[in-house]
Amino acid sequence: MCLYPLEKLRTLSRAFDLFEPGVRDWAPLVASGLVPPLPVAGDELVWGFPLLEAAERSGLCELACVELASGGRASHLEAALRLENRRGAYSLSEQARVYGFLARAGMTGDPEKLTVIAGLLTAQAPAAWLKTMGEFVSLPDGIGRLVAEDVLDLKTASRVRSLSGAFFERLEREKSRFSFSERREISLLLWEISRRDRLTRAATESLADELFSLPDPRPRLRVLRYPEYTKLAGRLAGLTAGLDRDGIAVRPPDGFEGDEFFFSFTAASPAVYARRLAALKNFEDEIDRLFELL
Amino acid sequence: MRLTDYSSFYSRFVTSVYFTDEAAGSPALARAIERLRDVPFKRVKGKDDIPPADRKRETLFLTTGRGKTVTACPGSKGHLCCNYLTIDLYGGCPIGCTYCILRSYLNFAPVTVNVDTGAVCREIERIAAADPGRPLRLGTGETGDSLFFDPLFDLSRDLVERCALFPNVSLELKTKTDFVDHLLGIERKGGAVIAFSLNPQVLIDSEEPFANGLDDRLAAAGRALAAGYRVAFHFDPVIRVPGWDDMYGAVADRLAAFPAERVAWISLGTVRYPKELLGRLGERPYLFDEFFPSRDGKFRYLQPVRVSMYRSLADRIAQAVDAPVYMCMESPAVWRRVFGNPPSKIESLCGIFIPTM
Ligand code: SF4
Repeated sequence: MCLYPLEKLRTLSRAFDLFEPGVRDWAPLVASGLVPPLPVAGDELVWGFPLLEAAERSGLCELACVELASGGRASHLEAALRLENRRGAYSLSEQARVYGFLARAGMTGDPEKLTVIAGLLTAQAPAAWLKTMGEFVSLPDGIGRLVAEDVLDLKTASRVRSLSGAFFERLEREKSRFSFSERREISLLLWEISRRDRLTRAATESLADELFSLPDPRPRLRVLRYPEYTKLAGRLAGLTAGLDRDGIAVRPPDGFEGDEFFFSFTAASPAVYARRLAALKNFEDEIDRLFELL
Repeated sequence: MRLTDYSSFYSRFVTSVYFTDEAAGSPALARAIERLRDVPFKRVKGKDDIPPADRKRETLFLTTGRGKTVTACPGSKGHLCCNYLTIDLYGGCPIGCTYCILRSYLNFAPVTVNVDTGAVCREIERIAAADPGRPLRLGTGETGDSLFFDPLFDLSRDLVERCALFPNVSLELKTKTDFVDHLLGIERKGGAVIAFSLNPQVLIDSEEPFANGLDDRLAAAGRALAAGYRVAFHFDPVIRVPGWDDMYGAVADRLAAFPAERVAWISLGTVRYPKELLGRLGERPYLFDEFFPSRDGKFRYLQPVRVSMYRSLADRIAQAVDAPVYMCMESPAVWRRVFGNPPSKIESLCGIFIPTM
């Protein structure tokens, strides 16, 4: 262990500066002098960039460092991850930086190193982690940012990535209007409609504009995505409107799958009961049309 | 297509073969070694010994069936099952249909071949002999194409010959190939049925990458028939693309070429998928249609849509050939709407829907 002037530490390579700075507040530890030594390998600082900044801010002139024996970049990365010690809590952007580091060093094809590094980062199996990272880094910038900021999940973002950049910008701007699952549903439905109808980019954008002008775009999107179901539900509502007015609810089997309708009503007096029965009796003329819906 | 040069045909689909100790002495392995001259064969203790680089569809894994090799078709909750027994002979398939359910079932990528037909035959014998009066339908086409690899291994021959001893047994070999020629010379065919999945050619082109075309399949059905087999046809999955009714109707019309009494059955099934399969299906245009979960959790077209599709196709088939038609994995409600009754009350289907085990 030896003392390094901060001036020197500042000039070292930042190739290992992979983690987000604000995750830990180092100021109290720096103030109390309980600072862990920083690992240094040649002209590279391997870990502790936010700590270095906290030390600078507090006016320290030097920090204790450990010079790592040369073990290769994989072992230095391993050391950095062990010191960071946040398995399962790294953001996607941090993981993507580690992935990029591994790819640049040609280590993604090395199963042994990959197993160690992925194991320190995530609970995912190495192959699954590589796949996740491949998907994430292949996203266009704007969409990747939405995923990194938890506006959309990676799976949905990868699926709907062909939607226009304007849509994603709009989604980001208006993210607080919708919950996570609402944003997901809006993106997926719009994407499915645009693929099904082979909409041009301009047509998709104008549809998105129309949808975002609604307080909740989802009911309209569902109608557009499921026109046959909407029509069926509309025919049911039309057929049973009279019963509805007479206080009798008619429910189809779930998803119109099956052969039984569920009729229900309440009656607070014999007169109401008689009225309901009369309404049901009148409905007999329509009953065949009702069952033809299934 | 009549396969003559096995090595060059299969070289696209097979890059390595692994076999277990138990499979080592089998005639099927010897045949495959002789027919796949350029492919490396390696002995392993079990499938876990296959190196990761070879855990892919182009690898064959030859073994002997562990546990039960003849099992009841799992069916589907809330849907009527045709009480079929499935034989695990070929597990996995290189044809690569975009809608293939195996994408969600089989997570071991190499195609597994059970070369121990002796054990399978003994099991069939046991089941068939237990109730000789009861019709028994079984087939090898549930976990892979029955005939894609069969010219290499010649496994179906043993089953055909053994099943022929039992008049109550119908063995179905279901395929999207035309690889029937190696089976034509079998003397005793008994109740064997060679079945062909049918789709309009445009859908074969877009959704069944390595399958034979419609003309090839129907020509193979003709050869099988001429050699003395009964044949069967499966319109499954029926996919609702624009103009689907004319396209499928035209395929149905072609069944008029087959004598009704030699067509064992015709099945219908609209496209369906379990939720977990959706992510593996890729982006196929037909998936942007309207699908809803049925009682078994699988996604299907809306019930009234299916009913109208089945009615239309069943009518067209009935005009072409008077053979038993049934629906695969459909609900009692759909049966009542399409055929007026559940299968148990339709006389021509009694032999097909009788519970088997
Ligand atoms: S032929 Fe059958 S088993 Fe093979 S890929 Fe197609 S659907 Fe799957």
